Amino acid sequence: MSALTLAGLRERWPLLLGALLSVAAGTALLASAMTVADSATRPGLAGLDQRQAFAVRDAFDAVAAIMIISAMLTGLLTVFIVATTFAFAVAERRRDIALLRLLGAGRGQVRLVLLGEALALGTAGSAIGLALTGPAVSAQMWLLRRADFVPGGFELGRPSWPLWTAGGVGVAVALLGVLAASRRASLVPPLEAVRGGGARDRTMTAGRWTVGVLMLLATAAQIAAAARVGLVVALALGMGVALTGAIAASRLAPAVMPLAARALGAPLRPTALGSLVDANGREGVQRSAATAAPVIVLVALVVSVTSALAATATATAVEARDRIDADLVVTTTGAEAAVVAALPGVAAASPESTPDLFIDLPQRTGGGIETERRFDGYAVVDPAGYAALHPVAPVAGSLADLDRDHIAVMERPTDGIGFELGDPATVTVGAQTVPVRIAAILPEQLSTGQQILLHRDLVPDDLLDTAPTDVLVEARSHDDVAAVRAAAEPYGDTAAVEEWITARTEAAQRTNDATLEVLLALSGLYTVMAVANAVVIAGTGRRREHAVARLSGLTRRQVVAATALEAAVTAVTGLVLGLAVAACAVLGIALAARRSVGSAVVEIPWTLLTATAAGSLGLAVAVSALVAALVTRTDPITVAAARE
Amino acid sequence: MNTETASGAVSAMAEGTKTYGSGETALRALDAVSIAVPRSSWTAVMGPSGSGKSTLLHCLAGLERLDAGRVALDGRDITAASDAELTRLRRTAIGFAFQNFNLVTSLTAAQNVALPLRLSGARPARGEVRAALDAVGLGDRLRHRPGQLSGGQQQRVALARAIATRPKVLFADEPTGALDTSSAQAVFALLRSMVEAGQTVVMVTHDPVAAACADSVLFLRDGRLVDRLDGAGAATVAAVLTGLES
Ligand SMILES: Nc1ncnc2c1ncn2[C@@H]1O[C@H](COP(=O)(O)OP(=O)(O)OP(=O)(O)O)[C@@H](O)[C@H]1O
Ligand SMILES: [Mg+2]
Repeated sequence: MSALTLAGLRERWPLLLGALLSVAAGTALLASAMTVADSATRPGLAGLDQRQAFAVRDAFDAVAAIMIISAMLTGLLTVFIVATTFAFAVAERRRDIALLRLLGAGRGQVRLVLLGEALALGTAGSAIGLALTGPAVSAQMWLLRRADFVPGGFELGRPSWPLWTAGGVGVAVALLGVLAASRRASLVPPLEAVRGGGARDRTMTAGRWTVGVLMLLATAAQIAAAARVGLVVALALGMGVALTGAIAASRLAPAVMPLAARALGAPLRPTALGSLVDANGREGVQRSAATAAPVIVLVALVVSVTSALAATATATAVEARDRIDADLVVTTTGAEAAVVAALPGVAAASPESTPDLFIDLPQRTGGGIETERRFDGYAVVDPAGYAALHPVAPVAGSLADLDRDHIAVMERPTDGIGFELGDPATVTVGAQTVPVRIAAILPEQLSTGQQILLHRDLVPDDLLDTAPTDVLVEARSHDDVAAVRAAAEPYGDTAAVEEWITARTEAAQRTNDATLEVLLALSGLYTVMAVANAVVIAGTGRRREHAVARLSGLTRRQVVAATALEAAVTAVTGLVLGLAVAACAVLGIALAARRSVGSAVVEIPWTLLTATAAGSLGLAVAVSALVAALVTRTDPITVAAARE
Repeated sequence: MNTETASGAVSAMAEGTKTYGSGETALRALDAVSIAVPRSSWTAVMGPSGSGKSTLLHCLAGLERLDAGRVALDGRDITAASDAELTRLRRTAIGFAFQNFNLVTSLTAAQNVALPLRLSGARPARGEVRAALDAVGLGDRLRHRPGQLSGGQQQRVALARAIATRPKVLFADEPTGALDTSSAQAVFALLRSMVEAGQTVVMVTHDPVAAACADSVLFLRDGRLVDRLDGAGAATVAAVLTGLES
């Protein structure tokens, strides 16, 4: 039995290779993301003071976080890609299976064979993947270094658990992918081996509908949740919607595929070649759906995640504009702040400094009170100046109550953290720890910059004098702005508020781009491989069909052209579905932004979108044409005459 | 179906009706067909193209279900048999040699012949497989793959595969369609020896000479059983057939 299945696979080696590659690449990426994440959990802190240790730990945490997200992403992609590839591989072998059934194989036997095969392929694929983990880790590290993510002292460990886990996932996913497909395969009637290939399965099965609709609901639920929670979850939303939406779209694709093929093929139909493309497109729904699936997930993922991060940066800028009512920002030190504030033409000034200190802040969570030590995300302010230039009303208490015993904090409901007026905290400056209480609570903000406000009296003058300080300045009148700016020039870098916000947004966007490269480069390549894979599997199964087409009068060139055209129609359908999913993500992000900053922010990465669309279209067309050219090399009569 | 017919026949159909499609496009491929194939006999089925011969064979073998009527195989009613039951029958009682019946292209001739035996859990002896291929004149092609065999040779490998399991009933759909006269004659001799050994053959053919080798010939037209000849010569068969086609 097993000899038989292996023999069957030898025959369809592109199938075998495709399945192997999909498992191997997924396993390698998963193992490498987990290896790097694991290495990032052990920062070398020896000989560092608290603040330095915090900075190092923070940098390590950032690497760990992005690698964990990356691991989740590749994990889900592996499930998606391996499951589709294996299911497709099974569907492509209906005729072999019918033949086995006719020769006396029972349903259970068919399932067992297919599962055994999946186990063998999954194991082999995982093994190859684990062997490739080294190079994958190198690629991952290269991307991280390029993005300036890797802190000094980072050492790559060689933990074994990522290998076991990724290997296990590879095998399990291969088995799970085949589980449903093998059930369908076991229902292939033996008669199909005799009556010719005409009868295809109903492609839209109850299972497909169920999964598709459930995933659609999950997508809608995420959008609804995002609208309530706000932009803090944008990245998770982008990834979540892209994945559930892509699963929904690819599950439901066979239902829309014929319509789409029809619509797209309409202009071609009058030509003989066009009508063939059109008919094939509708006939090979399973094939088209399998090719479209990775295109859908690629487009959805790239566009959703990119626009989620871009929208966050933009929304932070929107928020800053809302919460700052000043004309200029002078970047200087505490010592010069008073001078700047006293310049002629200045109506109000708010010096906001970040001297070295830390705050132990108890936060109310669902479970109780946890104290968090904050080394950043605070600002030392002059409450009157702050209130004058930040038109934000506290949700509780008053900024006027800030003094050397009282601080203000911003709400953090999204993180599940609450504060109440009068909650105690401590501020440690140098060797001195001062007990304080919360006297004002400000509304939640997206920017992580100033989550805690301290009165300037809390910090000794000499420390404040050297602390980096942004002085927000409001001029007496519009006409004074230029004069004030010129007067402030000697004391630090001056910028109009709008310039200052834009510069910060651009910096955030650069970090985003670096994050995106780390997150999407490898998983994007994996998905691109899956597109090529599906096209190759679909193409090599059509040797006989092409031979027959040629015997009926088509030239080889026409067969290749028709196949490429068909692939184009399929890819475009996949693109449209993928964009529909991305549109859902963008909608969710816009709603979340409206919740967070009061206006819907829509950021569409047009260049990336165009490149992805053109790339996947080009890839599908080129690969399918190449495969068609290869399988039509042999004389058609030889192929058609061989009874498969 | 009365038990008398069922017990006397190894394969039988009573009032079998099979319709494809529905409404306007409905097509009655079998129309109240009743036949009983006696054990250890050779029955040929003839008729114009599209008259329902293949459908009849498929229904008799349990590959397709009737819309009305009953089918029996090897003494048991299989009209509504479960898939497990039919699978067991395919393994133990019946063999197929069909028009479009494929070989597994990745397996050699010998492996193809051994396949059904292995599917039923047996470990086929080398000699057994060889004997079956010898019987169809391909003893020297054991290691060839289907791609390296001619159409007629492939058809004979399929036949060897069918006889290797020693089925009680062999269903053959134009088993000599791609063969020259002398190869076809060899196949007929083989089928005759099977029948003499107690096996039963039900064979669809377009060739009056082939039909004349059978014990009896059934004629179908438009899904109906219209005539039956026992022990007739090729000329008589051809005459009846011509009558049907006109
Ligand atoms: N799956 C099907 N769906 C619809 N119609 C079918 C199907 N299978 C067979 N038919 C029709 O049933 C009729 C009988 O078909 P069948 O294959 O039994 O003919 P046949 O006598 O074997 O013909 P031939 O000598 O050409 O093989 C034909 O008209 C055919 O078109
Ligand atoms: Mg027929």
